[in-house]
Amino acid sequence: MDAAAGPLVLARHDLARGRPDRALAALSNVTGADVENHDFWSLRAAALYDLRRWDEAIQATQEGLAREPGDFELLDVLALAQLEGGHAKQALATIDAALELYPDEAALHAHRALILVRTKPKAFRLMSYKKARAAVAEALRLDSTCEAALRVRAHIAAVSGDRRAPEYGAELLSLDPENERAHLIAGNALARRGQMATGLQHYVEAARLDPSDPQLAWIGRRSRALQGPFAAPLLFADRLTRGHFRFIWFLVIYAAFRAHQPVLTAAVLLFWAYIWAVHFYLRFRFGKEPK
Amino acid sequence: MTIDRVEGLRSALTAAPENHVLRLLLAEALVDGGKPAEALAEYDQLFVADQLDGAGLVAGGRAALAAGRHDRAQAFVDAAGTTGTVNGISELRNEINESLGLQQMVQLVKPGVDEDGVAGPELELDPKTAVTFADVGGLDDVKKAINRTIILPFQRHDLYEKYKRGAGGGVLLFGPPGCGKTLLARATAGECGLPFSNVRIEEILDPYFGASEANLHDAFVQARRFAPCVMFLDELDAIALARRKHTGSVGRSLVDQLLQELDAIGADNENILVLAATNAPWDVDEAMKRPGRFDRVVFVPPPDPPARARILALHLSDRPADNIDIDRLAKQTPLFSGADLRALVERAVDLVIDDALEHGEERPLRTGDLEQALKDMRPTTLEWIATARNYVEFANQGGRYDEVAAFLVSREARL
Repeated sequence: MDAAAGPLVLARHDLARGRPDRALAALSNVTGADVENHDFWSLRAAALYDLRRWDEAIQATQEGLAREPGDFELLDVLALAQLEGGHAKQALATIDAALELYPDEAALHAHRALILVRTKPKAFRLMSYKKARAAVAEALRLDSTCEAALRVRAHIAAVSGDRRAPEYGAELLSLDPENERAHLIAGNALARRGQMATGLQHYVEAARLDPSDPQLAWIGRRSRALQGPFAAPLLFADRLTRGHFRFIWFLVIYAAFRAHQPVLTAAVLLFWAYIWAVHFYLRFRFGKEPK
Repeated sequence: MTIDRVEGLRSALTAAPENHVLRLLLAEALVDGGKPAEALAEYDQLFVADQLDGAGLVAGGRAALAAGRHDRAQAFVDAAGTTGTVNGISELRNEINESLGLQQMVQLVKPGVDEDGVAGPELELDPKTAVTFADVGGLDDVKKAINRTIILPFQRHDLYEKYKRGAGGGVLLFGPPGCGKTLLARATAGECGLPFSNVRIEEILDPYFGASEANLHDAFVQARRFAPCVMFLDELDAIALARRKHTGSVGRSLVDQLLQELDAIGADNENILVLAATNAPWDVDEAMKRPGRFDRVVFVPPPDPPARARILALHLSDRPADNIDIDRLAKQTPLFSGADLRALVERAVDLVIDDALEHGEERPLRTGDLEQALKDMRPTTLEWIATARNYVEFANQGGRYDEVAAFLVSREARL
């Protein structure tokens, strides 16, 4: 106990325990030659990325890469920070450059898939999913247990409406049943397939596992409210339509008005009012999703 | 007027010699009148009749000390220690020691590497510099809880031994940052009159494999050598992060080591009080909170208005100030932590200094300056409270955060 741990050791420990704020504070004590250390920039970039300070994270990764141009982790963080910071094209270029250096890194392929899903405009989403699925498949071919790849696969399946989404979500959970992100993805997959009740349970569980995340807590609160009796008809309708409620609901409205049946029209209008009531209630009670 | 009062009380006591309230009033009047020896005689009678509560015993001890009767002062303070009195005992003990010239017996010990090659933490042993509960503004309920669960087992060793309940064990203090957890831990050691060993994560962590665990072990070895003592683990969540949240294996082995030390396999933790503090009790490994480890968890909330008034008074005491309305300020600063209040005073002082530099007039600090500084300040506890609210709502199945839940429904927390 004679020598106190240096700030780099402390920062690494803080990052490992999920406290990027403390890691950044520890790194602020780094002076002299250590500032030129590539480790310093690597840790700083990771801390800033975890704190969602995208532009600063990009800057820190670039500083680190200037000192060690081929650093795999820095390239990965740079690509993800560029993606989150709204520079998707640059992110794709970065990850492609990284893959030229490290073609056998499964995590890089997985993150490339994630970037592809979010790069294309909505009209070309289907094409993006195809390329993204191929990238994920490559990642899983390289490492079938790569957590990042499994997570991205489940995410893509959920957003693209793939019927295997719940299965992928369950597989992700089987690796770590106490992972809040896995519960979130599993919840998404189930909710989009019309199994809203089970999906909500996963959301609440995700919030229970990490209430310190304001976004998860918000999702958890909304989910709890939706589990109440007042939202039961909406959940039933969603289950009945197997997750295609919005589409089918417009068809029902159209059909009801064309049928000229006052009772049916009144019922549809009543249900419509109910849907808006639920929507406004949730909006009024829980506000917008925190960023 | 005091003489009239003393005479009046004496006459009344002659008529009713068994009236203990009158005798206590007489003793207090005699102390006020600068007659400690006569006051001591009255206190002695009350002591024999067992009519003094904790505060009365402390007052009697002070009268005895003023009268130069160290033996009587010691008897009063020992008796006060057994009643569970919270305030004043440590100060009185220190005054007695100082009066007897015992201060040279205590020292600040900084053990280096001993013959076994074990380096140790710094142990504070100097009661002159020791912090006591009197130095901690407010938190009366927390102080009482600590007194009952921590200090009394040390002071009433006989009673606890009779029921085979050992002194020592682990206590976890948690709450928002800047609300006095570390100070409270130091004050607990000060109240017990025990050495205080502060173990920080910076002293434990080492980049070499197995060295962090060895450092932690050394800290416990040293504490056992100095027992009875108080060992304080600041930021427990940094050392004992929930194992499921660890991304690497290094942190996990540190948690395992701490569990082993707390369970004291092959060693004796009797008479070592392990105190720990954390802002994030939810990040601490669940195994730490089992009986025999940190089984007593104490919530340290942000200071209430009277406590804030005391803290403000403390920070303003040595500064030139002009009739500051402390109570009003205390009401205007809900959820401010002790650290926030200190920052508030410093900001106000900056305003006065700016004013002095601009206009050349060195005026005292006024209530308006503090209110001006307050306009730009928000309590730093808000973020913690928001997180705590989420934990209470989603992760309080075992009732661990019931105290926090009760605080969150209080008027201040809802503002």
